[in-house]
Amino acid sequence: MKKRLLTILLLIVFIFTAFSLPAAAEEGTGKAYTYDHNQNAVAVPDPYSVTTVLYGENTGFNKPADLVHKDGYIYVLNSESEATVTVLNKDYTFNRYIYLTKNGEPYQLGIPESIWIDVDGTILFADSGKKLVVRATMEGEVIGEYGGPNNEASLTSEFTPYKVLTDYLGRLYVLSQGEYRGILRFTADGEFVSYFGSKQVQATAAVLLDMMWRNFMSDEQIANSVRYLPTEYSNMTIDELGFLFVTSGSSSAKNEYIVKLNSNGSNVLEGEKYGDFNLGSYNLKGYSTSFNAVTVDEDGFITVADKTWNRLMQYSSEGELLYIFAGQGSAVGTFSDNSQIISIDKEIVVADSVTNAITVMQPTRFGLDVRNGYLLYQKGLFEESIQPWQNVLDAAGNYEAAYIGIGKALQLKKDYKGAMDYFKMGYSRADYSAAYQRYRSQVMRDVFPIAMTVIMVLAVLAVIAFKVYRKKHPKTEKPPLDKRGKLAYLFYTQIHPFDGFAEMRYNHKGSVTISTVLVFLWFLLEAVKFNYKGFIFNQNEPQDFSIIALLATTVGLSAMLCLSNWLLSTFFEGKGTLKNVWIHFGYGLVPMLVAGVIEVILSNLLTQDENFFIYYIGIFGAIYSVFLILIGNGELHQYSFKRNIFSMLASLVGVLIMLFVIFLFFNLIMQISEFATSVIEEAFYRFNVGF
Amino acid sequence: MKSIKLLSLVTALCLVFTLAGCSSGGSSTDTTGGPTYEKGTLCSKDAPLTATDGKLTLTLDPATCAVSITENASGRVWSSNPDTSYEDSYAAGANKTGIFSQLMVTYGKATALVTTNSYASSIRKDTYNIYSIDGGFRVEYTFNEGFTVPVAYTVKDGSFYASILYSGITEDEFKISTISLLPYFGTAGEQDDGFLFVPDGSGAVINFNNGKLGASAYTKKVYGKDETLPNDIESSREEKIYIPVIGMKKNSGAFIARAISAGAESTVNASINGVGSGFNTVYFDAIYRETQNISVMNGSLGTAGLVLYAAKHPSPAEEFTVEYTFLQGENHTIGSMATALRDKLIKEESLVKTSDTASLYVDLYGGINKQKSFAGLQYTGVEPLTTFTQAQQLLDRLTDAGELTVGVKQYSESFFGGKTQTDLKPAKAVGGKKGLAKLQAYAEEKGIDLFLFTDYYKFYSTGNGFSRFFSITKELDLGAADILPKKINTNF
Repeated sequence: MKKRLLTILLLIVFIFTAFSLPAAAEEGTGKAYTYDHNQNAVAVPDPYSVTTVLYGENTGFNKPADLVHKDGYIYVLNSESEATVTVLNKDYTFNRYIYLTKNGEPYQLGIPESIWIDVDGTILFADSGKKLVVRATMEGEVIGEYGGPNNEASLTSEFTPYKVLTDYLGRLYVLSQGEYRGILRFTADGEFVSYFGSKQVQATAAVLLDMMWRNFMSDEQIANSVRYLPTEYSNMTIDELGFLFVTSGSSSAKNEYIVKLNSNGSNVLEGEKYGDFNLGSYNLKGYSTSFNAVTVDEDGFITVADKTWNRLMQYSSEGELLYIFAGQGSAVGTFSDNSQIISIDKEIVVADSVTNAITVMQPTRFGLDVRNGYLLYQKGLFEESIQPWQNVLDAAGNYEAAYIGIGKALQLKKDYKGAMDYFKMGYSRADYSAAYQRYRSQVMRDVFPIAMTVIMVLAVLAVIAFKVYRKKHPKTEKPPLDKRGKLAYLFYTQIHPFDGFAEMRYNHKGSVTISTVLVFLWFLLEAVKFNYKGFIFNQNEPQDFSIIALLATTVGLSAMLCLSNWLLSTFFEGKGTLKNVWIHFGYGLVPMLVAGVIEVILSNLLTQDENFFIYYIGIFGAIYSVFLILIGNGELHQYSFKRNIFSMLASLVGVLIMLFVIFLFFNLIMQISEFATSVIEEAFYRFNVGF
Repeated sequence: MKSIKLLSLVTALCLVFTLAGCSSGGSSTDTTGGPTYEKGTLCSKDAPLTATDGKLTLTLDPATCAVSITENASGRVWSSNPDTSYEDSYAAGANKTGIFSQLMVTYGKATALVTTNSYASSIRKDTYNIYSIDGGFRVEYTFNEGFTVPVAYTVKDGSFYASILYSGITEDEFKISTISLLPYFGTAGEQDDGFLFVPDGSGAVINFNNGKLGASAYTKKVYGKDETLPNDIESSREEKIYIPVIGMKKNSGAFIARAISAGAESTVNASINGVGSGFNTVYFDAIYRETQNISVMNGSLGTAGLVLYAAKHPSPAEEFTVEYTFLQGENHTIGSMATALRDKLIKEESLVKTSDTASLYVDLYGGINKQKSFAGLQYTGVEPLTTFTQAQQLLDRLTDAGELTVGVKQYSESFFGGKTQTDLKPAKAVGGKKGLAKLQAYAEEKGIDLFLFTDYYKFYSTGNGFSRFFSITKELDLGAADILPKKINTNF
């Protein structure tokens, strides 16, 4: 009866999960998004809107290669024009051209790639055509041409500068094509000083394997083999404190796509992973982020341009992703080549050399709220950050950082329960645990005195009541074990396994039903664990819940283990029947089940630091179960101790063999069906009109 | 069990032959004012051929088949191609003859698509014939590759019609995929002033000679990409083409060109001077036969190649017709083009003027499917977004907005069950039949236009008489032409 009910229940459950439907796919319009804790892209409102688009032919520039802004003016470097620089006013109107001259004669750059205004007001250019860094006055008079370091034996290419900037001391930093040794540093007079911020070679598995082989190679062989060089930087900028922000393309490690270098050349940016995740591949070509421009605005937010899909990504000053927006296209707010970006106050200015346009963007309501939330949060003004974070949540309910921000504020206000709820929604287990700890102490403090008093009173009353009851109904003798129900033996074998299993069999008090119920209870326990284990310890996502997988790893595994054990018992001259193997196995599971229940309860009551309680209870339950199963097994088959251990190990191996055979079988079926499908497909292709 | 499987296989086999031949999307069959085409009488190629309807004069040069339209009122002349003496410094390779062509035909050859043009492949070889028909001429181009494409050029009621006569196309060894019609019409060159009009979203303008040689040429399928074909890389934000109309303003004149027959099976192309030729071009690519690239094994294990397959049957439409309307007066803008189009549509009664004020369109979404759990076990449930009661409250607050047109979507039982919608039965979670009746009564009382939307051409599960196996569009390999959910961060 019980079995049937359980079966029906499970069947219903199976039907619900097996026929689940995907949600209808809706077409989105705005394409801004961010990533959640699982690295899934989630949509957010547009954080920036376009204020104006300047077209080269109207405003007076041509194919902008680079931009820089200083003292209220914007200097646009034209890649194809007699006028090397177009100067724009603060309101983006045309101011003047700057024509370069040298000794009175017009001077043209080879391939203009970069422009920068030095602290002394002179203009610096990186010319990859003439392979020089050129310095000119504001009027355009060329006063210096710097070549690269000339005494270094260069392995790769010659000095080909494509980016130049200066720090507050006027020292030059230059990026050169193919220069894997890092950024080149020059004095203000153009004398090479040193390499700065060299990158590490990314230690992939292939590289490590190769390095290992080199231990066995001769010096000559090593000299003739491939060299591992770090890849070059793609672009850089400098902030007011003198930190250099440098970007790299997709061949670097993901945590080095953008680095913030201090004066020692070390990366001080804390973020772990930058760029897009899981961009996929199309027509056998994989896609991944490739940063090619960077800017830092007045609030310290870092905005990077991605070359792969022309997106813009903004990070907090600590490297946390805020949002990703813009993209490839011909609509306003999208780009064909977002080659350079600069920030002016809160605005972002993007130059697109293919469409010959400069796009000016400013933060939207949503963008401002996110930024304010982060800024206040970073300053520790958690209370004040609630309002902007709440605005963010009103617009984008999936913005996890906002939940964490509000959680922190609530925690400061000692609203621990509220903080916990928000941390949960923000998927921050560490913060949740900390808040929970405080919450628990708070609850204990409030509840403990009353609770203890009530318990004491109840206990005293219970003892009195029991004594009264005993007086009226004296204790009757319990019948002997073999006269009681089957359930009695279940409990007996837990504590007296050596005698219990033998007696039970002799008295025919072993129950297949009970054992089966226990195995299914194991399955149920795993299901409950998956869903109801405390948030702090539970990394499972609800949508990953699979009834089939759980059934297979509990009920299926038990069945296979018992079958394997029984089949192999012939080799060991075991005397047990399959029925009894099942019974003994099921009964042995009880400690594990009990431990599991305690685990689930405790996981909802403990904090991260108290993890070991749960862990050890689980271990203890498992060990005790193994112990019981072992004894039950040995007793059933009448094995000696050594043979018992051996037979258990053999049973496990038997299970592995079974799994292997099942795997082979499915693999075979799959291959047959694949073959059949491709034959049919081929047939239809041939029938249809090819050309 | 086995017999059912066999039956399904056989049925599927039968279906693929019928379905594979269907072109996706129908063709607009209302030839609004376009003349019908007869075979006509053969003309000699000695003297220039003209036809007129009083407002426009059509001139056909029998040596090149280049078409010129003269606006009788203003005297402006629009040519389909430059004179053969023209030297184009930007044209190279096939484009050298392309600029003199009225047609560019793309056909399948082995595993790739190849393009040929009418000048090199037909005119120069003198394998064409001109027939005089009512209102103009019919030219039969016989290409080197074995196919013949008849095109009719006529003028009627002040418009110029260029029509590819699908029903008259004959093919031999090679099968035609697309045909570009009058790609250089307007011959807008370096020295001309003006812009190209493309129907991107609510319309977009590409200025002549803008120098943006690095940008890719404009090419977009009318009405949006075919959802039964495999995904292609898309830009992040793209508008669709909602009306197959193109246009050009050149110096003092302007025209709009509407695809009035089989326009749904076409692509709009536009390009500026300096890319491939010295001309700014805007034209239609008529899709005669849909093609698809499929990745198949190439014989050796591990290598896959792209092989070209085509629909078994070409477009069932009779013809692909573009109607060119020339705007009167001067100083044209995109606005005057839009007005000309609107007036034309009103004249042929495709558009009816209803009121002076625009209505406020409000779309309400009943609900979505959401994974829910009950005692730890998962199931798919309905999550209501806007119930009918809430809809009423919402509309109450919009009474100051004036005229309201309300669309209700995603509300039906069938929708939440993922099935084709065959009735209007609303789900209980959204308010049920009673809720809907109340909302409809409310709308009636307030004079609000209430529309219930159905989406019966996309479904997820078998039901309501439509099967997931038999009732769906299939790709060439018999697999369902399914629409997969696209992640936000990928572009394909």
